[in-house]
Amino acid sequence: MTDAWDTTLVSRIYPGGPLEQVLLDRASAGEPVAITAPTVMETVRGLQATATRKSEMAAALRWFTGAIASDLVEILSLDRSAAILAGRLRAVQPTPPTGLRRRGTKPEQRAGWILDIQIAACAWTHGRHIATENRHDFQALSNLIATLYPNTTPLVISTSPLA
Amino acid sequence: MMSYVESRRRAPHRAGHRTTLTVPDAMMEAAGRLAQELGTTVNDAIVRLAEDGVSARQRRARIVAVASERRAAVEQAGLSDALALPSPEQLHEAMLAGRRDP
Repeated sequence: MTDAWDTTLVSRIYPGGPLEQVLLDRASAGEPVAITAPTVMETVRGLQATATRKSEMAAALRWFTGAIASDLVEILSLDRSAAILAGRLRAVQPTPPTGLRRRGTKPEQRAGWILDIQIAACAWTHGRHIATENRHDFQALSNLIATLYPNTTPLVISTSPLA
Repeated sequence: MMSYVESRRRAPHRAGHRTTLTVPDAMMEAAGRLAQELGTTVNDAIVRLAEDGVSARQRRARIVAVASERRAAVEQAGLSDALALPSPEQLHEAMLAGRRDP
């Protein structure tokens, strides 16, 4: 089954880099990598915000926009089912799980957690696995989904295709 | 005088059914290009394209089946849910709590 890449992986894609090669290989094999809409939002926000300070980031934003608008990747929408699931997950686990050393302020960590919830919800309701470098948090989300919907197939977590 | 004659292309032997198809022009052109690329016959290229299509279709069907099962679980609601509803005020407050709480 094709997997969805979360933001930890998408943020490592670089023109001519090994992950872009994986994107190209998968697209040419007819199994394009999936990226969730919240990851697109998060990534584009970061590029746009940085572009106001660093002009070269505008080129990066144009490159990334072109890549995600092409047939290289499939974008998974935050649709009805994903929104319902994300709302339930956020209610049962409003803050990031403990047991991991985190970067950023509390509000930033919380914002990141909400995005991870949305990413997991998109991937799971679209029938995909999730590929991430953040196994800890996505494993927690997989466990929560299994608790909310015990008779369904679990959210499977995989690592970077380069790992 | 020497002459060079290209040997007739041969496709790998396959077990299966023989049939006659009306192939759309666009697919015939794609098959022709693939046959040229692989050094095989147009018939073999058509079969390869069809195999790719079957594989892609089966992959999509597997994803759709898993997604459908999960979506059905997420969107499931029954009469018992409606009968157990709180008051309109309680419901209103609970829905807005999602915006206020951390």
